Amino acid sequence: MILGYIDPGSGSVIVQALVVAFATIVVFFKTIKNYILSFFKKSDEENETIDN
Amino acid sequence: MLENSFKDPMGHIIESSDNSKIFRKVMGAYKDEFIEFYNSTLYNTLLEKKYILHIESIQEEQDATIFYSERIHPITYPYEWTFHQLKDAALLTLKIQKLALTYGYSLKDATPFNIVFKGYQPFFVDYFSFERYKANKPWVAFEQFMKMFYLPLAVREYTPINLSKDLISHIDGFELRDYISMLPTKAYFNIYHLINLIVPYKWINKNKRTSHSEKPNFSLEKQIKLIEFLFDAIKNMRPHKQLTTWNDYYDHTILENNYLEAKTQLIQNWIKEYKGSTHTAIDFGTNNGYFAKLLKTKFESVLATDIDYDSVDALYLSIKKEKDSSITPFHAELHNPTPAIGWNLLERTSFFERFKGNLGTALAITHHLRITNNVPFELQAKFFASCVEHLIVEYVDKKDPKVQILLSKKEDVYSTYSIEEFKTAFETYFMIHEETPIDGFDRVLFKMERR
Repeated sequence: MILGYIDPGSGSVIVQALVVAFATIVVFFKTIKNYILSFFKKSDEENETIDN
Repeated sequence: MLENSFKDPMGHIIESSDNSKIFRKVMGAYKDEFIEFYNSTLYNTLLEKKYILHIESIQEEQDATIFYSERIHPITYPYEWTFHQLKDAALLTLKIQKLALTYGYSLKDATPFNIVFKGYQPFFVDYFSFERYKANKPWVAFEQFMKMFYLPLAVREYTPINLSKDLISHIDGFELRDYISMLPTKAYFNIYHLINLIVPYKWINKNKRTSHSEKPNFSLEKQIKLIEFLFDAIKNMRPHKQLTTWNDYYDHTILENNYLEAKTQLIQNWIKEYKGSTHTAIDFGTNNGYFAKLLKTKFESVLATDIDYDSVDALYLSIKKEKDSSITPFHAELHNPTPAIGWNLLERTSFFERFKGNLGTALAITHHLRITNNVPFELQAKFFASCVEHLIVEYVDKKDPKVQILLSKKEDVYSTYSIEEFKTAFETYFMIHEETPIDGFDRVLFKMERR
């Protein structure tokens, strides 16, 4: 059984690089969308952010 | 050394002989790195933000240092948490990882077992998880985060399946490639799940095994983007809603008004008169936490548990809103209490080892255990006696409309079900101090003390 010899940490570079590549595109469009939306409404939804 | 801390060769957890204190011993090659972290701005920032609890360096040995830390007692495990508890624990882990990265550190683990709840507040307690950030390395704990936090949350977002409960049998999390199939097609249209889970783990990494020769090249900037993206994904998750019998139990039942008023009055008086130790109370079958909130007027800590996942989740959200640190909500089935699991069955302790109380309340649940789960009253009494010294318990007679509903769904094989049977059974383990019927209802409240 090969599974027992695979380091769970290995191989995640490919996965993480892939996720970030797509994420960057999504975040780019989301930023534009939020910028446009901010003209129409004040967002008072959940204010929890990663930095607070 | 506690047998739940054997995994880390650089640091162990030691318990004081009376179990009241926790010591952490750091040694070997990791010692200097840890001391550096302990004196760092990161450590102080984490403390200020209340992401971790203070630990005190108390003893210096030749190649080891011992730290003392406050013991959060009792602790609940991720398989006893509800959606929003797991979600908040996941968000906390990501906040800490981002902060760590900005100060030149990184977390080497991302498991919910590193988080402990004190009332509404999650705290990260695995101090030895912090290591120096290694340039251009990806996040070593990424996959663990996906297996233990992300996937159970995503599954609960689309289905009524409480996957985190299965962490009991999957102590290291869920194999992503296999478990993604639990997600319905609808989830494939969620951009976050598509990018984080489905594309990398279902479509691309399906059978791929990467070699160790792979060159890491993942900048810090990229890793921060990744963490922020995961944070947004989890922040946007909402639990799958289903209407359960219990959601609005006290709001919509015929039992409302007089019944609740009389019951509240009586229990309030009994709590007021109670002279025993006021350390911990347990509310079995807490529903929306109404009586747990009465108990906290007297007790330092109230454990509130229910079989209904959504009710416990609603209670968590309510204590979070009130910033209540004294009530600890957790999901459990009394007819199938949480077992001890892990190496030698000592890694994670059982329901009975963790949940002990001075006073317990078991209101309107004995008829469920008796009829739905077929547990005789005597075995119920034995169960409560193993958890609490004093007990306030409600007897619901067979004539009660709620019992009639239960009986309408199955054959009535409970010919001996009566208040006499109830009393005889409970008197085996408890002394009955008071017995008060609720006027106009076929229900009786008992105040008891363990023999």
